[in-house]
Amino acid sequence: MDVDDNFPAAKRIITEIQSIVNRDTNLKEFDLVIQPESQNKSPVIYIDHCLGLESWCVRHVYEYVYQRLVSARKRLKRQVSNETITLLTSALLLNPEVSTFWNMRRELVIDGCLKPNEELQFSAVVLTFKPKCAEIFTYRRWIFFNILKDFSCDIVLNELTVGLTAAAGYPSNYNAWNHCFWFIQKSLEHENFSLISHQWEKTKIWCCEHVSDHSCMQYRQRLLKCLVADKRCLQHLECCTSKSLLRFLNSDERHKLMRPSEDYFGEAICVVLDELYFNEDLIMMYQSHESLWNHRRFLCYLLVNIYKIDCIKEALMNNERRISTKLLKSNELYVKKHILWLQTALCIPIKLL
Amino acid sequence: MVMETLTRDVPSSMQHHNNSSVSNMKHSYVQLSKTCLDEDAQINKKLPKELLLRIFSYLDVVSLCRCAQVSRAWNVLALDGSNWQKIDLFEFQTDVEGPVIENISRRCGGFLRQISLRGCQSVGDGSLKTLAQCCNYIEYINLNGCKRITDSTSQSLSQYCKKLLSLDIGSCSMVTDLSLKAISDGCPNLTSVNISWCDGITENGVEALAHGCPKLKSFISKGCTSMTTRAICCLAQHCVKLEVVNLHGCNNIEDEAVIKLANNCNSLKYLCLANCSLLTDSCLVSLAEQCYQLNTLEVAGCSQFTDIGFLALSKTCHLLEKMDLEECVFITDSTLFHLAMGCPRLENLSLSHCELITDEGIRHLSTSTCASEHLAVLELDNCPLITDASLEHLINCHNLQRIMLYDCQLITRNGIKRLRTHSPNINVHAYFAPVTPPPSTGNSRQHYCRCCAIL
Repeated sequence: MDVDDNFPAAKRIITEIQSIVNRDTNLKEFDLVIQPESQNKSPVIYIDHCLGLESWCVRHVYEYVYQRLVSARKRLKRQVSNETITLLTSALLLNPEVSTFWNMRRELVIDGCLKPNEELQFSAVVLTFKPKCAEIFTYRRWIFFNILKDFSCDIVLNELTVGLTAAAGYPSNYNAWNHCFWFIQKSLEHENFSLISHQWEKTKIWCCEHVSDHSCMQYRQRLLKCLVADKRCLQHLECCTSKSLLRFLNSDERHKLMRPSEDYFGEAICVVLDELYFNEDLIMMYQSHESLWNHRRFLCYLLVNIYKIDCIKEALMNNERRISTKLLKSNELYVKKHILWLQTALCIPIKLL
Repeated sequence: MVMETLTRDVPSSMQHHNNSSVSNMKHSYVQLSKTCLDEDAQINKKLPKELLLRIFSYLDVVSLCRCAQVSRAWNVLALDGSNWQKIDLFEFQTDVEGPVIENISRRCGGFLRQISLRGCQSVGDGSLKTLAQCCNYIEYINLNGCKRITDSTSQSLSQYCKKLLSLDIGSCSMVTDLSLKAISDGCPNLTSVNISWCDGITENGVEALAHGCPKLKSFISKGCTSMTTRAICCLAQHCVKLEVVNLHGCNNIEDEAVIKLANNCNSLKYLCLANCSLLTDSCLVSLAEQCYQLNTLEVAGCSQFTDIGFLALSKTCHLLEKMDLEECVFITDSTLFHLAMGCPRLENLSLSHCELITDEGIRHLSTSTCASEHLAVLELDNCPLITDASLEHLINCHNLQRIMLYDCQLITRNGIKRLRTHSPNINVHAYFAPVTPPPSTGNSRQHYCRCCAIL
């Protein structure tokens, strides 16, 4: 073999990692443990369903597996699948950004050497180490779309939990939220409407804890679009009170707007208004977060463009004026930008007092 | 313009060359193509068919298939059955389907002596029946990992291949006792059998085998957890010529089985009892009393063995070359002392997880004759009492190629460095990061390529 072999321990280390991955079906996490100096003991740490690798060996282990995998790939020769799996496991734990290695795993899944469910478990562990890695999400979607082909409620819910965990691991993790929304779309295709409301409630709490997270707000915007577009999505939503509607419109406007037949219409606008007031609360509480203001822009836009009625525009103008005056001191820059945007993009003749 | 010259040039030059008319030219062309073909080719003229056939007989499957595509004559020669006495498909292709095997068996016929279909998972009973029917003189057949085969294959083998000497049906999980019964009925000359990981095989099958195949020399049954003491006793009683016995992971085996083996099969050379955790010193003692030929003993995980057993062994089994004592947790330096005295040929010694071993034991080992001349591999991983002093002693082992020191916390980087300076070719396995080579400086690149340097 042309690859140099100056670190024979690498083989032992990757075998140990593989055996832990095989043995523990509840493995939670993988991470590096900072330990610049090697002592003569195994760098693989395994405590309480969490796997760690001491940092001194990372470079050598990765060199070892990388050289072997690349030469195996180039040679295009039949390899013993077990050895390749062991190499791939360590390679992907340390560097999940290599699509070639995921592709090698895909081939092994197709050949039946790897089980798709175990692959989901493994990639979830990799995700705890690199929560933003797009290749991992692509791989998971590939398994669902090409192998399992099952989008029942439980499975999607589980996948959304994985996505949410990854989102929490990295700020503005667009890939994770995108992954979640892909599953929402899939479940909508399969006429599964309960999940969207579940996610709507769940991410509301999440947003409170991550007010700067653009991607989470964007995910909520996409959810909101779905909710407004399809009546069936709304039916699972729990608290859809008309409180915010009362707050937003005065009684005259309400009467003008509401016809008894259009129940759904009212419900949909309630969801948007709820979100608008929720956003207001957050802006009050956490000052100067661009993400919150961007989210507000989207909500205003949605209100104006979905309900193309003058009275809504007017009510919105009053509401925004109230907020702007209240917040002008603390958030001057954002308020001014917001007013300008309302004027130009939505043609709302609003003026600061 | 260019095309024109080309088309005109070619015949004119040929005409010039042949110095003749168009019809003549055609004739010569036919001759030319004929010499390229078949018989008249230079190589076929010089080499008689018999010699070519002889050359082909040394080739492997891949090369033979390539030769078969050269010409018609070579095709006939390369695919001649006499070349196909030994076939190993493992290195070549394992995802072959039944028809391939059937073609091979028709082609080889009575010539076939050895065939390995290791790992050919899609091969089934039907094609193997054809194989057995066509090739009656098979002596060696390897079906390791052909998971689809059942007892019916063994039955056809026993019916048609009476000359069978060696059978490997390891990892064929659908095989049961009926297979061994059939083989024992039909193949009395069998000398070697491998039934590793065949869960369906019990003591009844092994007993039938023992009765039917008394010439058995090699019996390998790794991971057969249902193997019993009675089965091994029966084997020992009838197959006294046994030389190789592997009972790795047959964890129900008791002392009686090994004692019986030791008493009856005195020519035992290789014995693996790894993970047979019920065994005690008394089997080592009886091995020591009877089996002087023993050269390999693998007893990893036999945690009841103590110094007493190995003391007895080292007194009589002087030919021992390889010993695997992993996780024999009770052994101490005294075992090493006696091994050093009694086993001068020891090449390969594993003491992994033998936690009582100290530097003193290693010192005894290193001062013995085996150490200085033969010892090539020494595994000391997870021996927590070993220190750098052991490495100092091991400097005397001139033949040492590999040493395992994983998890020996008292070993330091300097100790290893000292050992390396004395014997630079030694391969030390430990969890120390390798020393990174200094960054190469600019002048490492040569100004001349190799050929220029030679010139």
